Amino acid sequence: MQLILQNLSKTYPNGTKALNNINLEIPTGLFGLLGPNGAGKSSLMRTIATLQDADTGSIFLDDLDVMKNKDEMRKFLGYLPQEFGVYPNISAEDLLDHICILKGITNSKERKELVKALLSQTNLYEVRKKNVGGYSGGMKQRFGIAQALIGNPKVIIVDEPTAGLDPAERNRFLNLLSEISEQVIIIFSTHIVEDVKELCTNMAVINKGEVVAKGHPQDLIDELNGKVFKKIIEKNTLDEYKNNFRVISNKLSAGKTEIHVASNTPLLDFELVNPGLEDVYFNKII
Amino acid sequence: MLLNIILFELRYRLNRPATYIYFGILFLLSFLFITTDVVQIGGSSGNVFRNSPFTINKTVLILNLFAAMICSAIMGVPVYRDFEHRFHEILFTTPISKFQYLIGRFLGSYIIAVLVMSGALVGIMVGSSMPYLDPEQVAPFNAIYYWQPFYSIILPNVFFMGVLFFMVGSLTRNIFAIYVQGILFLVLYLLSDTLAGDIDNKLISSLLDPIGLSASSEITKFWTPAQRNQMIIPLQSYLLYNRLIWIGFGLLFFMIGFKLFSFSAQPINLKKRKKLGVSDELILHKLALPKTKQWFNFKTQVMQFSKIASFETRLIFRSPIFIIIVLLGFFTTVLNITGDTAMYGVSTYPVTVKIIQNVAENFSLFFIIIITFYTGELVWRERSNKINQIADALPIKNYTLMFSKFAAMLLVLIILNLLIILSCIGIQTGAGYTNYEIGISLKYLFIESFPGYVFLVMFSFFIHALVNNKFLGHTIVILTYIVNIALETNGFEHKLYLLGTTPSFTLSDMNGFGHFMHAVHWYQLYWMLIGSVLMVIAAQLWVRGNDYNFKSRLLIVSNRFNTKGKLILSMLILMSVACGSFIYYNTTVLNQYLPKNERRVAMAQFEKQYKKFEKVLQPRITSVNNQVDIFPDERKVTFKGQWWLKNIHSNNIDTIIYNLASISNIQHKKISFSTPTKEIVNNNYFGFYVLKLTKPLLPGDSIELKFSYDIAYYGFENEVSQTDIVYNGTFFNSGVLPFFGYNADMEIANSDDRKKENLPKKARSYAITDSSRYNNTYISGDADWLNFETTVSTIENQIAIAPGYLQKEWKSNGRRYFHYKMDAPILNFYAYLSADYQVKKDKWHDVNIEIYYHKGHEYNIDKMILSIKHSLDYFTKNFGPYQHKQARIIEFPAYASFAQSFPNTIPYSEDIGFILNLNDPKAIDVSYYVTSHEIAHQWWAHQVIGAPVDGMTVFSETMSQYSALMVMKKQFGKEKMKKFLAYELDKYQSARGTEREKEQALLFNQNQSYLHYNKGSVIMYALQDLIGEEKVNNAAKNFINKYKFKGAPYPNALDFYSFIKNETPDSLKQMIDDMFVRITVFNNRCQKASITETKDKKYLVKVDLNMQKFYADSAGNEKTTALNDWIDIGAVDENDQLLYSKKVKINKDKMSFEFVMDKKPYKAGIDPLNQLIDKDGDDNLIKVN
Repeated sequence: MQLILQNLSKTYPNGTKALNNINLEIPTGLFGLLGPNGAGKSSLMRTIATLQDADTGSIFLDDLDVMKNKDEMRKFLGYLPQEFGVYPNISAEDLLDHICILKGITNSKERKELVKALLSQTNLYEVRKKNVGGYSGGMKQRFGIAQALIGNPKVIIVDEPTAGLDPAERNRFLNLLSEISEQVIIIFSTHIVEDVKELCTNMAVINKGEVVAKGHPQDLIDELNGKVFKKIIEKNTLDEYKNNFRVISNKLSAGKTEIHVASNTPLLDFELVNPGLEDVYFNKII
Repeated sequence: MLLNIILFELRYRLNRPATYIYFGILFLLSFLFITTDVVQIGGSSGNVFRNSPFTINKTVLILNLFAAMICSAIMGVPVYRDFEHRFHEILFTTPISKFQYLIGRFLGSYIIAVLVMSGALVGIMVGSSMPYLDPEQVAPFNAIYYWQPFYSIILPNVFFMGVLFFMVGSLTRNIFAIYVQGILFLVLYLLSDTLAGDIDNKLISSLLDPIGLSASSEITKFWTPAQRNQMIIPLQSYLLYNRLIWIGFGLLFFMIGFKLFSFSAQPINLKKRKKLGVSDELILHKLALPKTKQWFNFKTQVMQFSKIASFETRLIFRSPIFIIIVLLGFFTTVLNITGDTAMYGVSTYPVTVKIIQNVAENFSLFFIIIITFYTGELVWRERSNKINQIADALPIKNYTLMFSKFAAMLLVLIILNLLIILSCIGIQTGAGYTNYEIGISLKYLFIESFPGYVFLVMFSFFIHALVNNKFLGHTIVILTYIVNIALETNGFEHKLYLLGTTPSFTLSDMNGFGHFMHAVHWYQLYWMLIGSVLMVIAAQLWVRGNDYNFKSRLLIVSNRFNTKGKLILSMLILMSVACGSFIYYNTTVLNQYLPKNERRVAMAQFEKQYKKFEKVLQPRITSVNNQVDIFPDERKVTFKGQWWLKNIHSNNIDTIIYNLASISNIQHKKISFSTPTKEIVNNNYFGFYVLKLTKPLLPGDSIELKFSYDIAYYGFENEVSQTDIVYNGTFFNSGVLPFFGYNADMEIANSDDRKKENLPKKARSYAITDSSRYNNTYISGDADWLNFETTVSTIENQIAIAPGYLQKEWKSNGRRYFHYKMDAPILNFYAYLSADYQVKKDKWHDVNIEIYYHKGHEYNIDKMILSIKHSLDYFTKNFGPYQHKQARIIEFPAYASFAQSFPNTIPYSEDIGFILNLNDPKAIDVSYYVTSHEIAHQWWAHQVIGAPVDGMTVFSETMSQYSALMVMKKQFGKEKMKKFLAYELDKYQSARGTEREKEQALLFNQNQSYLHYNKGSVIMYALQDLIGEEKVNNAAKNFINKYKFKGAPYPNALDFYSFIKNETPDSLKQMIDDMFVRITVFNNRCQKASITETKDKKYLVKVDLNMQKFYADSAGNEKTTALNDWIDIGAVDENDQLLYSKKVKINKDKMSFEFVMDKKPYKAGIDPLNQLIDKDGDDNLIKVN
C-alpha cells in the first residue's frame, strides 16, 4: 500500500502558497512530516484527509484517486486534527459510539466492544460517562487518538499530536503509533525533530510549502556525514559567522554560543561532528 | 478594580452570540408589532399612531414582562459561570473584595440586560421609520417617547428582576434554577395578576405589580386618541410609587443576597461535585483493538441518518435558549387563549377546529424563530463546536449528512406540534370540554400548516449553505421575512413569489376545513417543489472541509454536481414551473387576482366613471319572485328571477341602470325587460349596465324584469375570499342580485384610500339635514316595501331557507325544493341559507319558533327559544304587533361572527351564540341577549327604518339594544344588568381611543358600532332609569305607529328623538341632550362614606362626593363644564346588591349627602349602578366606616 502525492500545489486566496509542487511517496509505516510552523504541514495533511482540494496535482492511495473519490478515501481514514472541539454535553462513550456509526461500524455488538476497548486503552474508561468538553488537555488528546483509530483505518493522519504532551506521554504516544504502523500508513506532523528520529521509517521536511528533503531519516543523516562542523564562538561574532559560513544552528552552551556549520569541504578551526537529524532539518529549512 | 470587573463582564457578554440573539428577539417582536399585524401586543389602532407614546410604553411593558426569562438568563449566570469555569479559584485568591466582585458582576450584567431590553425600543424606532407604513399612522420621531419608557420602565424593571435573578443564580449556582426562575417569575406574575383582578382597590393592585403594567394601564385606561398620541405617561402617582417600592425591594434583595453570599467555593445547598479522578497516563502497553467490520451499504446510510437526526434533535432540545423560546411560546399561547373571551366575558366552547387554529397561529411566530435560529445552528453545528475537521473526514455522504440534519429540524417541529396538540387537549380539558377530535388537530398541524414550515427550513438550509456565514445567513433569512411582509403591504400579494406563503384559511365547526384546502394544497405542493430545488442546490453547496472561499467552493460544486443531480434538479424545476403555472392559471385566469392597491384604483375608476348616473331616477322594485338553486358541492348557485319595478316618480323614466356586484363569478347572464331596451353602457368588468327603454316608463307604471344567471366558483384564488357558497353552511344575501341605479356602496369608504385616489371626502353617512336622502332606506337603495316570494332548492341532505313561510316542500331529481312566500311587504333585504340542519321547533302563541342548527351545537338552543318568547312578549306588548307568524334562527359557519335579522329569518353565526359556553351561572347569557336583539330588529329595522343619514342606526341598532336590555332586565335583574352595562361602558370608552375618524354624538353616529351598540346601551338604560321605562316605551310605540311600513320620506334620528323629548319632563331635557346630542363624560367619585347608627336601629349614611363633567369634541379633547344633573346616590351590600338609591340634583363639584337606611350598607357613594359615562366607575362607591 502506498500513498502517492504528485505535483500538489495550493494557493490560498490571500496569496499564500501553502503547497508548492509537492511530490511524495508514502509507504506503510510511520511517516514523519517535519517542518517549522506555517510550513504547510497542516495544509498538506488536510488535503490528504479530504478536507481541502489542491489547485493542481493528485493523490493516489494505490489505485484510488483520493481527490475525486473523497467518500471512498474517508472509509480508510483516521484523522486527528491539530486542534478540535466536541459537541456540548456529550460523554466520551456516546461520542465514540456516534463516530463508530458514521464510520460504518453498524454491528452494535462490535461497536460496543470497540468503544470499550478504545476507552480502556486510552485510559478514559473511568470517565467514559463524563462530558468530553470537561476533559483536560491530555484526556482530550487521548480521546482524539481513540476516535482516529475507529474502524481499522488504512491511513492515519495525525497533526502535531505531541504538542502539549509531556515527554513521557509523548514517548508512549509515539510508541503506540509505531506499534500500529506495521500495516498502515501513518502520517504525523511535528516541528520537533526528536519525534521523528527514532521511530519513523520515512520522513519529509517541508518548508514554505515545498518538500525540501525526503527519505529514511538515517539516509538523510548519512548524506551529511563529514559535512557538519561545530565551533564555540563569542555571541557577538555570530553575525560575522553567518555571513561567512552556512550556519545551520546555534545554541547557547555555558555562556558561549555553539554553532553548527554545514560545508562540503573541511573547515579549519571547526570540529567535525556526527550529524544528527536536527542538523538535517536545520540544514534544509535554513 | 470595580471598573475592570464591569468591563470584563461587558467584554465577555459582547462576545457572546446569545446577547445578540436576545436583543434580536426583542427587536424583532417589537419591529413586527409596529410594522405588521403579525405580532399582537396590544396598543395602537385607529387614530392612535403605531408609535404613539402610549403604544411604545405598552409595548415595552409587555415585552418586559415576557422577557423575564431572557433577563434571568442574563442576570442569573455571571457568578455561576465563574464557578463553572473554575475561575473562582483564581478570583478568590485575588485582593478583590466580595463587594467589588458582586457589584461588578451585577452592574456589568445589568448594563447588558438593559441594552438587550432596549432592543424593544430600537425595534419600534426602526419599525416606525419603515417607508411602507401608512404615514397617517406614524407620528414623527420624538426622542422623549423612547426616553420615558427607558427610564421609567426598563431601568427599574431590569433592576428589580435583575437583582432577584442575580442573587438566586449566585446563591444556588444551579443552572436549572437560573433558567427556571424566569419562567417561575412569569407564572407567579400572571397568577397574581389574575388574583389581583379581584382586588377592587386600584392603588393596591397597581402597587403590587412589580412590572408596572397595572399602574400604567390604570393611568391611561380611558385616554382618548388625542391623549394617547400626545401625552407622555407621567411618572407620578401610582406609577411613581410603584417604581419606588420595587426599586426599594431590589435594593433590599441585593443586601440580603450580599449577606448570604459567601466568598468561598461552596454554593448554598448544592450536590457535591466529583472530581474527574483519572491518571493522566496513556495505558497502551499493547494495542489490542477488537476486529470490526465497516459496512457501507444502504443500511449504514439509514443508521447514519437516524443517528445524526436523533442526535441533533436531542442537542436542540437541550439548548437552554430553545427551552426558553418554547416555554415562552407556550405561555403566551395558552394565556392568549384562556384569556380570550368572545363577548361579554364569555368564551366559546373550545371546539377543536377553533382551539387548534388559535394555538397554532399563536405559536407560529415561535416556530419561525426556532426554524430561523436552529436551522443555522444545525448547518453550523460542527464548525461552532470545532469538531468539523474530525466530522468532515468521516465516511458519510454529503446528502446523508444534510438530510439527516434537515430531518432533525423536522423532528423538532413534529415534537412541538405534538406538544401543541397536548396543550390544546389541556385547554379543552381545563374548560371541561372533552370532544378532542385529535384527527382534526393532526390534520391541521401536519397537513395544513406543516409544509409551510418545512419550506422555511428548506429555505434556511439553502441560505446557510449558500452564504456560508452564520450571521449573514440569519440576517438574510430574517430579511426575507421582512421583505415578504413589505411586498405584501405594497400590493405585491401573489403568493407565487411571497416565499413560503399559502392562502390563509378559517376553520368552522360546521363546515370543517371547507373549500379552503384546495388552494392551500396546491400552494403547498408548489413550495415543496421549490424547497426541494433549493435543497438539491444546498446539497451541492454544502460546505465540507476547509475550503471556505467562494471560488474554490464553486470548483468543488462543479465536481460534485453529477448527471444524476442535474437530472433531479431539472426535473424539480420543471415540476415547480408546471405547478406554478397551474396556480397562476387558477388564481389569475379562472379567478381575479386583484391586489389591494389595484382594487382601490378599480373602485376609484368605477366611481369616477359612473358617479354621474347617481341622480338618474330609477323605478323601484315592488315585487320579487326568485328561483334559486343551490349546489353546495359545486359551490354554484343558479338564479332565475321575475321582478316588477314601478316608476314611483312624477317623471317618465327612459333609462335603466343596474349593477351586478358578483360579476366576476357570474356566467350565462340573461336579462330582459317587458319593454324592449337598447344597451348604452355594458361594462362587464364592473358589472355596470345602462339600458335605454324604447318606450319610456310612465309615472305609476310598472315594468317586468326577467333574468337568469349562475354564480359559481371555479379553480381557486390567491387568497380565498368567497365564503358565501360552501359545502355546508351556505349563506348569502340579496347583494348577489341585481341592484338598480348607481350603487354608492361600491365606492371606496376608507378616507385614506379616497385621498390616494384623489376622490373627494366622503362621510360614513350623509348629513342628517340632507333631505334628498330621505327617499331611501339605509338598507337598500332601490326599493321600498316589496312583495317577496321564492323557490329555493338544494341537495338532498340539506335544508334551504329564505324569508317567508314555507308553502310547499318537495323532492325532485334527488334535490329538495322549498317554496317560501311572504305575507307582508318587506324591505329589499333577504338571505338564502343551506346546510345539513337539525331543527328544533316551539311555539309562542300563534308564532312558530324554529331553530336550525348544526348537529352537536345544541348547547344554547333552549336559551334562544326562551329569549324569543320573552322578547315577543315584551315587544308585542310595548311596541306593537309582530308582523310575521314565524321566528327562525339559522346557524351559519364561523366565517363571520354576527347574527343578522332578515324578515322572520335570523342567520346566526355558530361562533356567537351556538357554541358559547354559558355554564357559569354568573356569566352573561350572551345567546339570550343576541337573540333578543335580533328579534327586536323585526320592529327596529323591519317595521321602521331610517334614511341613510347620520344617526340612521339609532332606531335600529340602539333601539334593538334597548329592547334586549329591557327583556334581560326583567329576566336577570338589575344587578346582572350592571355587569352587562359595565362591559358596554368599557367597550365604548376603550373604543373611543381607537376611533379612526371622529367620534360623533350618539344621535348623529355614523354607523359606528361602539356608539350605536355600546354607548347606546348605556345611554338608553340611563334614559329609562331617568324618565321611566314606560315613557321610553311610549315614545317607541308612538314612533313605530307613525312610521311603520311607510315609504319615503324615511325618518331620521331627529324625528325619533322628538318622540323621546316629548316624553321627557323639561327639567331633564338638558340631561338627555347631554346623552344624545353631546359627547359627555363624567368623573364622579366618592371621597368619604360614613355611617352612624340611629336610635331606631337605622343607619344614617353620609357621603362626600366629588363630581366633574366634561364635554368632548370629536377628536377626544375634553373641556370641563358646569354640573346641573340628576344623579343617583346610593349604597350596596357585600354582594353588590343595591340597597338604596335616590336621584339627587348635582350642581357643584363637591357635595355631601345624608340618607337613612334600614340595612347596614357595605359601600356607598354616587351612581351605584354605573349608569353614567364615567372615566372611572370603580371609585364611585367606597367602603363605609
